[in-house]
Amino acid sequence: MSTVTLAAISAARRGHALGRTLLIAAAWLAFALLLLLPLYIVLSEALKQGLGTFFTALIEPDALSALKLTLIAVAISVPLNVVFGLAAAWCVSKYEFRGKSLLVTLIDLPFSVSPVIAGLIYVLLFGAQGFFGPWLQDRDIQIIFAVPGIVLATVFVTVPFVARELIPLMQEQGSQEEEAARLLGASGWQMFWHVTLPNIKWGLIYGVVLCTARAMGEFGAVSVVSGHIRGVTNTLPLHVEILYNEYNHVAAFSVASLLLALALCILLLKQWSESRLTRLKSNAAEE
Amino acid sequence: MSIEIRNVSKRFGAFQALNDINLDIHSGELVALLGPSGCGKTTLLRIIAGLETPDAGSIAFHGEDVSGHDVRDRNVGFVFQHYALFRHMTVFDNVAFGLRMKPKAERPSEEQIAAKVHELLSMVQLDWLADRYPEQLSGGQRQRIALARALAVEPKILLLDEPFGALDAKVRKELRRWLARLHEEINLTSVFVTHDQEEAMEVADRIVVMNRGVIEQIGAPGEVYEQPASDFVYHFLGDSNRLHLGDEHHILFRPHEVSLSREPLADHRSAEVRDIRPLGAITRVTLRVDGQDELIEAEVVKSHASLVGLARGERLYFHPLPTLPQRVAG
Repeated sequence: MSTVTLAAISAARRGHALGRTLLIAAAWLAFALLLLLPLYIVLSEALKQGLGTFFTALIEPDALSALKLTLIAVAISVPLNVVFGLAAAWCVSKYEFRGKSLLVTLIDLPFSVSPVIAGLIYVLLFGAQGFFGPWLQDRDIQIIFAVPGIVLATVFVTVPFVARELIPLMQEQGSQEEEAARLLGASGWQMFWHVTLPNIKWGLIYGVVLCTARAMGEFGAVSVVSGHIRGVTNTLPLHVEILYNEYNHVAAFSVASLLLALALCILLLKQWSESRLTRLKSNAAEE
Repeated sequence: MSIEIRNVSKRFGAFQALNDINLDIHSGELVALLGPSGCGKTTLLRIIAGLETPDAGSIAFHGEDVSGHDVRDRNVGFVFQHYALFRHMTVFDNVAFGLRMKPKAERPSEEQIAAKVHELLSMVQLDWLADRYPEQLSGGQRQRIALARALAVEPKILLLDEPFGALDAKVRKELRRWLARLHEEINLTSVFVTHDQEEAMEVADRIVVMNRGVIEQIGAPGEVYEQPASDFVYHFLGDSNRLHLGDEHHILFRPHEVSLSREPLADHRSAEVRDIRPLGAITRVTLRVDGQDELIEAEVVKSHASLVGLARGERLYFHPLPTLPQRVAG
């Protein structure tokens, strides 16, 4: 970032202030067209018939149940992702072993595979005609067209987020601080808690934010395994689609704006925690 | 506490890092492991600390075999080349870390910890930096904090990996004298790794010269310099000149092992002065001997008679005075 600022400063000094202004204007224009305009359309469509209709669409039981299911999927997949991401990043960055590059490639698999295919894999594994289907039916366990399927699909598509953030970070930081902690008598847990975790905190938070956003917004994989049972297996994105297909545009955009609000909340949360933690650190330094 | 290293070997894939190393380090001694990069010196240090496991052989501290002991149970202080300070902790918290990690029963109270930390920070003369973060310190300051942190848990052995390697020349010189004095005060068995022979000569009680995974020679600084056990040790410990004597014979000698004269003398060979470099107390003269392309460097005191009014291109007469007759090689 400092090189960018420096480059900007020297460009201005050389009298290229005009070029800089144009570039910044172009960036703002793109931002307005690609982000602010859709945001405005979503909100204006949602509020077309006034606040009353807007809120009715939100507190309707099906919408509430979709919200609940979305939050459940997030609440299960994000912690699992954190545990998996930490374990994978630790393995890859601290140890040398056979098949390491294969493991790194496999972590990326959910990024490269279409989410619809991921959903289909689960249907083929756990569906009524699937590989484990009869076994599951005998025990009266339903995964596909039920909540477990939705959670599984969400976990699958979000797997790479935390690991992808942490692997380069931990590789760059190396293991010397961990070694120093061990030499000073720290147990494995103490080392992780007092040395590793604070060092990777930012990468971890960022990974969690990305993972949460994706878990809330996932459509393809969840759509395949959900079965679209209203009030039972619909997440927010699926609910939006159903409403839209029923030409209930106001309700669709109302629920969409709820998703949007959740996304903005997550962004603000990230921003807030980041500034707060940096402030804590600089305060401690000044004392 | 003494360290006994027995038949230690270590291999990384196809690379033999250490080959059957045997070494005794006496209690209270300051020993330098000296050698070029890749000679295995850092691997040996990490094996002593328990950060690496040897493929064969054993490590004993004061007669007790610690080969099977985990890093945290060996009670060694270790200073990393790049310090490895905890970047998110203040200097105070860095130094306090080892004490705070002790099991509850042995852990001192926060007041005792604070007293100990301030005592250590005063010892390294950086008490005023207690609230800073590592990134706000200079290299020399970080190095001293790393040392204070290692000493906080009262280790029996202190290991330092290239402790001055990342510092600039002046700070390095100050810090190594300071370390030698500190070692005299606290008298802790210490081993440090270096590739700088001057550093090893200046600081260590004994030098272990290593090359390609084996020990070439062990001895006091004067001993390894004056009586090198191999050509490798001779070349590694100082500059050397080679003078051809004809018939494929040559003689090796150090730059200061030379007699210089402006007038032709018996046994002296004629040479052309290529360069004159005053280096403080001594002056280095680069000579081109008739009948040899390889240049000769001679170092004499700056007040030497042969230097008066000397200019490039003039003639000098020199005669090597090697102290080591066995270095005449065929």
